[in-house]
Amino acid sequence: MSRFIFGDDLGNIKVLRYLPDAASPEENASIKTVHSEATSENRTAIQRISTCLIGRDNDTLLATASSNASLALHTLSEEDELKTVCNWTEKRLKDNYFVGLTASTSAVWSCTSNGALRRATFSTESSSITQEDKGSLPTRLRDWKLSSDAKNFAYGGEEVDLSVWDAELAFRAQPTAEASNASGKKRRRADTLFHGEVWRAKNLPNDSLSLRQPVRITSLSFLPNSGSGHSLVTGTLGNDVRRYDTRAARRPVADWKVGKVGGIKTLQAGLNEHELFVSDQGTNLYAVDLRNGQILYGYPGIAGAVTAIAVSPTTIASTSLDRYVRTHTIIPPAGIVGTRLDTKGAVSSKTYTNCIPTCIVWDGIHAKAAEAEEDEEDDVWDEIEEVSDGEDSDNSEAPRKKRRNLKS
Amino acid sequence: MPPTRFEPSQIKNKHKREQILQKIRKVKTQAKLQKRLALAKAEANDPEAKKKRLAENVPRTLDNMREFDPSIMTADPSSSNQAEGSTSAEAIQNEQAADISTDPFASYFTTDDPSIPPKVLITTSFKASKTTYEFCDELVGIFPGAEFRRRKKGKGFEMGRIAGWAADRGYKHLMVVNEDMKKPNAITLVYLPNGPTAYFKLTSVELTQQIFGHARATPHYPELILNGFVTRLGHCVGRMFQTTFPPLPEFAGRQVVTLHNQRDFIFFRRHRYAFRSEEKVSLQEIGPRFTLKLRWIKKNIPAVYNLGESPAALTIEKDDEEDAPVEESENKEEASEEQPTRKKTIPPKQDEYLWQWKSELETTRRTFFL
Repeated sequence: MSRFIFGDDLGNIKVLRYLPDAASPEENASIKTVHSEATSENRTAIQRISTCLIGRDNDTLLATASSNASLALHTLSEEDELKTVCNWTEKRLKDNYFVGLTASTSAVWSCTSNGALRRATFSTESSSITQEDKGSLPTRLRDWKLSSDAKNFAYGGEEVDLSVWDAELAFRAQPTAEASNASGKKRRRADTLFHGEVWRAKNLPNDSLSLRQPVRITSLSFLPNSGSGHSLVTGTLGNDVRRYDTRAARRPVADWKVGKVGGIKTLQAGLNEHELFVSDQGTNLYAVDLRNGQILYGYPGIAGAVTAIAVSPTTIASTSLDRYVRTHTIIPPAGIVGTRLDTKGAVSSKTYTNCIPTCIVWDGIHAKAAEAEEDEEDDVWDEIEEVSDGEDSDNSEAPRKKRRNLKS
Repeated sequence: MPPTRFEPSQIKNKHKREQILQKIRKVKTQAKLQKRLALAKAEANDPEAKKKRLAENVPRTLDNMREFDPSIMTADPSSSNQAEGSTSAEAIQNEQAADISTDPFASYFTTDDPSIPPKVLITTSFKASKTTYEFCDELVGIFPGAEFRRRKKGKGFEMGRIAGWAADRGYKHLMVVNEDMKKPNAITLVYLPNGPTAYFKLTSVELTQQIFGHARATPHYPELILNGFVTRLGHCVGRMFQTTFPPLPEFAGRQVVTLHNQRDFIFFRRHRYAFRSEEKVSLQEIGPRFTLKLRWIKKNIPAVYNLGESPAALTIEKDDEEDAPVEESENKEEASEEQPTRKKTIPPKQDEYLWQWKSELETTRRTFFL
């Protein structure tokens, strides 16, 4: 049984519970609203959502960022009770939107499309933020992600090439010595890294007509399975998926055309090795092999663009603009590159929501229901008394006797 | 031995076989006719029996056997299967109402003066021909606030850019009639300034002069009838059409525009009505008659791909607001007085599909989306 948390266009937070072994296919998924936003003239859509597991009590920390520049931190219990811990606003938002949000056990990081980076340190005891650090990143960002060890983050956008920064240095002000040096030189090289920037990607070489390739990154993801924060993958407006390795080179290691319509909307690395889920602005959701960029399978029956994908070990869940939240089965890529898979992934459940769901995330709690059921079954068998039968064949008598000895 | 029966189809001689079968068919049709006449006679005396028979024998059609769609907007959500199991019917209705009241068309219902017609810009695809221009003439007559402009050729006249200019000049809709093989075949309806774009396939176009006994149109604002828009997507499309007409019709004009949705086909008709007596009304058809079928809806206005534009430099925005909020507000007031700048609507660089018709979505013949 997996639980996913998603936010929608009106500001509500809802929980989707998926039970793969339900009695009938209609009952395998259910949605419950844990937070309803009061209706107002303008929509306060939830633009980004992020979870983090707290060690005790199996509670989940849930951070949300809304279109009215307010961010909030809640705790969600296993019984789906939501309690707000603290609220704060990002005043630098203006007409832009949030492109990244990550919650860790001690801080919540947020980034907007005009480069306003904020790290809010909190503690569950107090109802306000204990410390706020601000950083400035370039404008026109489209996606921002924090690496799994929280030491680096990466961003990309419109004519903003993929960049990896050091998480601590980003919040320190630019030293004045550098500023005076820059004013001394006549022309500052456009290639110089910002203070705090560790690595910046280089654009692809000019195409066959010697034309510059435009840089239009729409989404990016760290690849968790391969190394810590070194492997990244980006999706572009030209339907390309590019894979980068910060240790190897500044140019992309691989460049594949994966999407079909309108550019890549969102990417999410799968928990199996070499797996990547890609959705484009048309109605396509694909699973891609990271070794050769081939589409392994796609999920049929989706009528709107897929806005967000959440990955858990057994299933993935997706939200799309046609007001459905779907869960899908995953087939991991084959061991040998290029072999065709026998079965394809399928849509295992789809539930209708009244407003457009915008972002979805897995709550991080691994399902343990199956194991508990097995233990119960063993107990039942152990309690049943053995009955002796003289008519049984010799084969069954010997193991039976052994069992009886153990029982007594 | 009793005679064994053999089927007429075992007769090898075609003429004889046909003869026998015709005889059998005639006997059957006669029997059926006699039965119906007897029933009609019995029911002529007993209207109750007729009512009972009709109530029992309701024919099953594709419309009344329609596949269940959870997005069908009902007045009573508790009667149908709920997707959200644990919320009450009231909560669901509140949510649906909030969703509709904050959608892009909500501003139409809160205008100050309901007698101002919304401005509609009608244009064609590039290099249209006579039939399309005639159809556009008719369209200009249908929508009270409509204007027609010829479409120019070139890179700077993409649909998204035109939508941006129209939005800045106060137009509420952009309607582009697409042409193929000298006939109009599609309509793209864009709600401005940043509302959804809908693409309809246009078929069965009959202009006013082709309709026998047509009435004459007058410039009065028509009344609007929207039938059969049942699902959430249907509501979106229905509201989109509603916003093309002025909110307050002129009843003295006795004109009515009907958009009737049946099995995902939207039929457009325009009639003039007259009361012949207190109970009887007669209709006379005015104006063009056409059929639309929705193909896709995109979230924003159409995108403009400008892949060759020169790259903008990386800039970091300065964070002044937090330091001096008082000074900022004073500056802002001065700035707004000096320059009443026209808002510039920039078309997006990406298209997002809210809904797209795909043949794999029609799993049965009874699946409909609007």
